[in-house]
Amino acid sequence: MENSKTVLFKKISLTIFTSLVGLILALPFIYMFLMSLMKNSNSIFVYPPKLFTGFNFINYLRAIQFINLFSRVGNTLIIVLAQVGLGITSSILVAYGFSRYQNKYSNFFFFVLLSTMMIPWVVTMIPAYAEFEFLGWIGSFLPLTIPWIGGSAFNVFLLRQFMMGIPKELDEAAKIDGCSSFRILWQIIVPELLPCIATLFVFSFIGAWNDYLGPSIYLQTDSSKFTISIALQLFFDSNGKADWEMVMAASVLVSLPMILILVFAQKAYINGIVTTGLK
Amino acid sequence: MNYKKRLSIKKKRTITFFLYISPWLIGFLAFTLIPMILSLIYSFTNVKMINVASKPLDFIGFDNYIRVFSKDPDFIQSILNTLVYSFSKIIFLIIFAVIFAVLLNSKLFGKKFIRVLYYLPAIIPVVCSSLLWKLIFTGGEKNIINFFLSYLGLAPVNFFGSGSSAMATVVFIGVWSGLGPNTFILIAAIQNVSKEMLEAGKIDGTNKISELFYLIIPAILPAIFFISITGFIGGLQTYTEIKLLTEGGPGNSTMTMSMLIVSNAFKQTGNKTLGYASAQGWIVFLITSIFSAIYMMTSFKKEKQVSLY
Repeated sequence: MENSKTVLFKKISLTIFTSLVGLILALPFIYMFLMSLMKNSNSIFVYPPKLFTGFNFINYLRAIQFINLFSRVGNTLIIVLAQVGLGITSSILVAYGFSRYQNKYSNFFFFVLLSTMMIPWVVTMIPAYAEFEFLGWIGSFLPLTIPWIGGSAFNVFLLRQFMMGIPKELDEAAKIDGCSSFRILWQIIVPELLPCIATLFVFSFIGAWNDYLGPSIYLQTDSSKFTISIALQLFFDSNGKADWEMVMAASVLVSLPMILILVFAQKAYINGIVTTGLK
Repeated sequence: MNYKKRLSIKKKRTITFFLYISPWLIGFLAFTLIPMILSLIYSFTNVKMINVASKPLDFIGFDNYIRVFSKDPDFIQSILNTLVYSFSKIIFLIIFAVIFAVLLNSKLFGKKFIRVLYYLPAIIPVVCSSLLWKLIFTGGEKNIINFFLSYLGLAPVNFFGSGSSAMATVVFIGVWSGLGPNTFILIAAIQNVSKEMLEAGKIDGTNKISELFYLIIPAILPAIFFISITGFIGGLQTYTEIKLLTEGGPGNSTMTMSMLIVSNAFKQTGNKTLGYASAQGWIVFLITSIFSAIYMMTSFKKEKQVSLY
């Protein structure tokens, strides 16, 4: 009895302690939310600082209008869906090739594929800009979507790993029943992969939604094509001044989908993080 | 006859293999290999981004590479900055990730909700969190952080005022945003530590502290090594966070290699343009390759060990 009481006490105190540490980590976001409600930038920059001047939700409306947020979200979603859709579909095909059609060349190509993960982005991204310039793609969504037809090395790696775990007897049996290779992939392998695909979906979605680097390099020339992450710069004038309450309001809106994903797809997300770590 | 038939099946399988991997092959050729070849060619020219498609290339031999090492203190400075940033970030990340992993691995109420708090910094768009921190640290000595510091009786700090405090601040923000994922990799590693070993330790009289240092940490060393080396390689390519927070300032004190290269690549005048940026890119490639090679060698060794089982 005594023992179970100390266990419970330990559990409660650890819960309180870890929640407090977690709250400290999340404190900046509470600040973000509070600042998004401020009356104006003057009240943000007073010293000693004020944290609350009333619920000024009007900042949200102003921010949405100021940077035309909905059309930015539209731009972002086009890119996100293309990257997620192309990236996962191609990766499934490629991983299937690597896991089920091994031959004397496959190890070499798989090694090349893994090595591409190690190439610093500056080495390829800058000359890729020049290449897109030749193709006339700069200022369009093409540089941020078409390259995903190759899948992604990370996705292929994870999918191949999972496919190796699916017993080959399953495909053998289907083959005897006269299934084509593509149908085996589609009707036998892919259903087994669904948890893995969910993880990749969440990962790719977060990555594409949050991407700043790609749009900031390839879309800088045309502000009507801006995605949300680079649209935030439209709040700043040439001197770097901005109405910060609007910046914060827009940040809250842009972050919200990610927080929802984290709450509702936590398992898929954590699975992904953990499998990356155990590779 | 039989032999011929087997050969043709083998050939067919090889063709199918290449058909399935063709999306990647095409993507790799068009968007990795060709850019890399272009970059190699450009690194021996003085080409500029504005006329890259219209003007013929003008080869200048090894001039760019010579200039990188002899006449560009800014680049050397940015290499040092990047190394300092990546190294100090990783050290703090590991210390905190180990502590948090042990804490979050214990029995808790509402684990799922607490986890969200730890993950939040990693999942928020990096633009939002960088602008948020910029606002928090803005205003010299008159900001919310200094207000709290004054409560604790500490002198105010102008966080982005001097080179060393600006570097410390961006490292702090980097650690904050990297904590979640690294903590969870270590939690998974701790959960894989054999229960028998910990039980045996208890019989030998370990307490929580000695269990952590003598049993758990040695057992999760491979995972710690993994997050260190991948985090370090990632750190060497840092761009967005610091670009948005400090633009490399004050002076050049937080300028990273990638930031300098991108700004050179789009310069329209002078001799540090696209060609020069390409040469710098290859230097970065060499630096990261050293660490990637260490990582690949050790992870392949690990795979061999597994297959021996």
